[in-house]
Amino acid sequence: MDSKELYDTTIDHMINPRNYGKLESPNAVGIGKNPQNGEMVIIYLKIDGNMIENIRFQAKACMTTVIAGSIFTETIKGVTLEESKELTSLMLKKVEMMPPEEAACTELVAEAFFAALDHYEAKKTDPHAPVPTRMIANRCIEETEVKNG
Amino acid sequence: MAERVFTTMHEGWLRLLFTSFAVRDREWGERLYDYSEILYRHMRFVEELFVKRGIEYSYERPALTLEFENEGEAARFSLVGVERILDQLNESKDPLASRIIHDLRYIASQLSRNLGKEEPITAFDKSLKLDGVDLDKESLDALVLFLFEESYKEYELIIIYSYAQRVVDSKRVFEIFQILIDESKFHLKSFAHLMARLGILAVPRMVTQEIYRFDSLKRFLEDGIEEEKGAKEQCRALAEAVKNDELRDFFNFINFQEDYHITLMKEALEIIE
Repeated sequence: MDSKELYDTTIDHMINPRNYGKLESPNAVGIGKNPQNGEMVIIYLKIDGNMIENIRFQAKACMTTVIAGSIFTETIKGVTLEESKELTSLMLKKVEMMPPEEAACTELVAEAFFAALDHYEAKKTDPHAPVPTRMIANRCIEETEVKNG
Repeated sequence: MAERVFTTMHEGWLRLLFTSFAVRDREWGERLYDYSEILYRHMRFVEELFVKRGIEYSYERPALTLEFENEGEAARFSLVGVERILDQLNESKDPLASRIIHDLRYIASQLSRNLGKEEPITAFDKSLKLDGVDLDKESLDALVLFLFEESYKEYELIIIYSYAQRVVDSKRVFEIFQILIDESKFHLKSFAHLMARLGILAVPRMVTQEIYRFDSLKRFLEDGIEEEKGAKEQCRALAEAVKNDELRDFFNFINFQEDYHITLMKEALEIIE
């Protein structure tokens, strides 16, 4: 994908974020949270057997997080649980090479997804297991600088 | 009136509002904007009614994609929203709906007269040019991200303040929220017009209950003041970064407007403390 195509794709995700909103009757929900500024992502999953049948997300966060959530959910929809874990781990490895503010946004989405998988597992033994929250490790430097003026 | 009419009104308001930003015939665009304001007030009227009757309602709504290529199709897009509200109000046979029905029938008739218009819509052609002029890449990148971030933020604030008006006791705080709603509407309009000129106009994503139903008004106002300070800084940085006089003046203007919002929010904070 050349830079023009990448730019167009990014804008397309800003104009029309994929899979945004709640999922009716999810069987797993997870929250990723940035303790530094309160930004968060909620992931809703519908898992059928070993397959991610449907996935949606909500974000109380910046546009970069929304783009990350949109691309991530589009990629994860329809894959097996194993594939989804591999893809998410791969994404977290890439986070290490990103600028801090972008790393925090991507990590927020990945941790919300892992929290949802934790929830799915927990519900196997306790159907009323509470929705778990995972905190991210990266700091959103840009946000801090803006707030401090 | 059923709960779903509130969501249908919300969607109808946004259909008219964003059509008003998209059309190139500015006189017609301003009339559409006025009609969208009437629909917003209908929604708030119904909200008040639902609160009094103890009916649950939600500001959540389905995603809305702008898909029209000319002004006739744009009028159709708005008309669909108005007709859906009319159908649901007619079904309800609620006597309080009759005034709204009269308004909507008139607006529908005006929209119907524009169905044959063939002038093209360029508000979402992704040209990324400001009235045909290329911006330097750094300015353009910063501007595009800012517009998407802030158009959502202004819409979010309209929803939060609208909902907050129903849960505050103080008359002055209610007034402050109304001023802030009006200010956010003006900002949303300004940003959306810029987005339309750049060919990237889009309806913001929905605001979820987790966001607009805040737990603590004090915390919400404190966070809001910090966010306004952040927005001020972003506008100042953008005004410095863009190599375009019109944009520089515009971002300086928005930057100084945020001071007024901060003053109002501080006043609201003092009242509730």
